[in-house]
Amino acid sequence: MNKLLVIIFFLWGGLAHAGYAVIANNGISASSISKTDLKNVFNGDIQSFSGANVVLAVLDSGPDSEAFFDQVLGTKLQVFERAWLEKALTGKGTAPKKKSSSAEVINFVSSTPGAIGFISDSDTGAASGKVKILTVN
Amino acid sequence: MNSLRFIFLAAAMSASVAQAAPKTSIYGYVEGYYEKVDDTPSVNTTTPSENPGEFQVPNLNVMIQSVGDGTKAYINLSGADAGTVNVNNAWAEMDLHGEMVRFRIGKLYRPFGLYNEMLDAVPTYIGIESPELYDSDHLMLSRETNMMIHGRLAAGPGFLNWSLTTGNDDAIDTNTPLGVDLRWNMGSKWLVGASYYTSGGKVGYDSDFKGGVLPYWTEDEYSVSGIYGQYRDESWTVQVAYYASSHEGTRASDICTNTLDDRLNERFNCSGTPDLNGEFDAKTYYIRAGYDVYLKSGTLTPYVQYDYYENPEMLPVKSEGGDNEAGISNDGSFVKATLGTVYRPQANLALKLDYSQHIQEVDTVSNSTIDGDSENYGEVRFSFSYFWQL
Repeated sequence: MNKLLVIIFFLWGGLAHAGYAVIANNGISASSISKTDLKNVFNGDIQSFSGANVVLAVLDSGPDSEAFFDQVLGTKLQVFERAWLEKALTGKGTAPKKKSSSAEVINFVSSTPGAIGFISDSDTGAASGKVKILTVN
Repeated sequence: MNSLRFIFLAAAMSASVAQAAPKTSIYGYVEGYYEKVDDTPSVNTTTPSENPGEFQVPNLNVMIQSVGDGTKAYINLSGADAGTVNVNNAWAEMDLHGEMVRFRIGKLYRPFGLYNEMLDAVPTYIGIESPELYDSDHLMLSRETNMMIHGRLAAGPGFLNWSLTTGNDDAIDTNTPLGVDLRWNMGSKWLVGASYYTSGGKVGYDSDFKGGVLPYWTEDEYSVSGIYGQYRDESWTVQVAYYASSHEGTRASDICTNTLDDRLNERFNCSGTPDLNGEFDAKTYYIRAGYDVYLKSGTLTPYVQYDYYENPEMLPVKSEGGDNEAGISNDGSFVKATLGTVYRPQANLALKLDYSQHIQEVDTVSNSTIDGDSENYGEVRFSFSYFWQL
C-alpha cells in the first residue's frame, strides 16, 4: 500500500510540472521565479522582473499551453487573451506575442531584452545556450 | 483650463517617451452595430413614435501605446469614416514613485466604476450597451478629464488601485472638479470599489462637453457617488454597481416652451411663474452576469443584464435634451432587462446579439391609448468587433 502511495505521489509530482518550461532572455539575471511572481508576470500585475521591463511570449493553444495556463494561472488561454485585449484597449498594457511553436518562442525570447515565455518541456534541449531556463519555485 | 493645452502637453510628453524607449505598439479594432427599437410612446400624441433601424457603418478604432522606462504614452482615435476622427484619449504618464504613484496628463478617461475606462474595449466585455450611468442620453458625469494621480499598492491577496482626477470636465474654467476611485482587486476573482465625483461648484452646460449637467439647465452643482463589485472566474462574470447623483442649480428660463407632459408641467410650475430653482437626485444600478461555454470552435457567452435608472427631472423628448426612457415615465424611472449572447470564434473576434425589454409606468403622457399602462417595448441589437495588431 505504501509503495502504491509513493508511486502515486511521484506520478502526481511529475504530472504537475509536465508540459512546460519557463524561459527568459539571457539578460535577465535571475535563475528562478516563484510561482506567484510568474502568475503576476503573466497577468500583467508585475511589469518588471529582475530589473528588466518584461515582454511576454506565449505558446499558442495546445496541450503544453493548456498545461501552463491551467497550472500557473489557473485559467484558460481564452480568458487570458481576453484579459490582455482589455488591457491593450484601455492603455494598460500590450497583448503578449503569441507564437505557434516552441522554436518561435525561443527565437523571440533570445532576441528580445526582458522577454519571458514558456515552451514545451520536451523542447528545452533546443533552448539550451540561447535562453535561460528559469526554475519555478 | 483648456483641453487643447493638455493634449499638446501630452503630445510633448509622448514624444519624449518615444525618444527614451521606442517600444511602441499599434493596434485597434473595427466595429459594426445594428439596432432596432420597437415603436415607443410619444408625448402629446396618440401615435407611438416609429424608430427606424439604425446601422452604424464599421467604425475604425486605432490605439498607439508607447512604453518606456517608467513612462508611457497612449493615443486612442476613432472615426466612422476618414473625414471624422475623434481623439478619445491622448495622454502621457510617468512614474513618480514606482507603480505606487503615477502622474498622467492629457485627455483621458477617468477611472470611475467598472466601465468608464473600458467602453472602447468593445471586443472584450459581455453586453453591447453601456450601463445607464454612461449612456450619452443621460450621462451622470463626464467620461473624460485631464489630469490624474494614481497608483497601486499591494493589499492582502491582491492590489489596491487608487486615483484622483481633475480637469475641465464640464467646460469648467473656474471650478476645480474632483474625481476619486478606489478599487481593490482581491486576488484574481473578486474586485470591489467605490467612486466619488464633485463638480466643485456651479457649472454650466456646454454642448461640446458631454457631462452631468442637463442641457436645459443653465447651471448645476452636482456630485455622483457609488459602489461596484465584480466576481470573475474561468466561466462566470458577475458585475453589480449602484450610483446616485445629487444636483442643485437653475433651470433655463424657457424651460416651459419645451414639450412637456403633465408631470413636468406641474414640477416646473408651467401654469404660473416657472420655477427655475431646481434640485433633484438621480440614481441607477445594474447587475450583469455572463457564463463562458468553451466550444471546440470558440467561446459562447450567454448573458443577462438588469439596468435601472431614475431621474425625475428628465424631459420626455430626446431632441430637446431629454431622453425617451426616463423622460416619459411617471416618476422618471425605467427598467431595462436584457438577454443576449457573445460568440467568439477566436479571442479577437466578438459577435454579439441581444434583446432588451424596456419597462416603465406611463400614465401622464397625453395619449389616451396608453394612459395608466405599464409600457413595454423591445430593442434588438447586433454588434461585431475585430481586434487587430500590427
